Amino acid sequence: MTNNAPCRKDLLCLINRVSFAVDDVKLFLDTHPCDANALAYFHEYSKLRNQALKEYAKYYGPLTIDTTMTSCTDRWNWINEPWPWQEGGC
Amino acid sequence: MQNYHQNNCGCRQTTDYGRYSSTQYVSRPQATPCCDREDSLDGMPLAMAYVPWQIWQRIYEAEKGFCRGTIFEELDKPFHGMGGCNR
Amino acid sequence: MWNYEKRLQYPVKITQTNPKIAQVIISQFGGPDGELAASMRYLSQRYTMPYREVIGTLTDIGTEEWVHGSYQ
Repeated sequence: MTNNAPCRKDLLCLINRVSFAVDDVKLFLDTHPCDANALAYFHEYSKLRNQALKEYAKYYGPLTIDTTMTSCTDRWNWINEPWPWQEGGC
Repeated sequence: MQNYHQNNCGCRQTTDYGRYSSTQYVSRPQATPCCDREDSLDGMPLAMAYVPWQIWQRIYEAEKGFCRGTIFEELDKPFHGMGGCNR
Repeated sequence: MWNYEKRLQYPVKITQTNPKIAQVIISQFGGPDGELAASMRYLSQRYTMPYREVIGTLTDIGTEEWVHGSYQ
């Protein structure tokens, strides 16, 4: 296919890091719902996360049910290996 | 007769309570202080738990936050053993 | 309800298995004061919680503790 596919491991690394940032700021926002700085941070990292998830799904298969649209056009590859507990899954 | 009294700081220093009968308890001033540690909560009301309100500050870069397990530098408190002493 | 993501929150690479450590980890997760029990309490207590901030916190922390189960 295309030659400029991003490295799978690097992309998954990025997804892990930005997703964790989203997880942590989400907890902060639960108790600080009007904090403008936290909201801005959330939007920035959420955007990065969604872009990275879409890109991952395009080249390597979906990680979420919402990115299956990018990936499973002629086959339901949601069920493809690796699953997280398998070799290469994380 | 000396009583060995294990106090909360576990320093196990002995204090001499002096002789006492079953009806009377006399304590003597202690020859050496039991615990010389400074208490940063000195003067605060006893038996109160507190959780100060967190504010948005000192946020780690995403890479560092991921490795430390928190994006908040103020919540980055690695365990160093009991009493912070690597025991 | 919950979404599933096909990844671990933090990568795991086990070079040498150790049944003793595994036993400790499982007891921490599944025991009476384990994370699974805590998660169930958080998720159950949401329904009678009068403050939306606390509902959010209980939901998100309860969810987070579930993730730890996936490491089992």
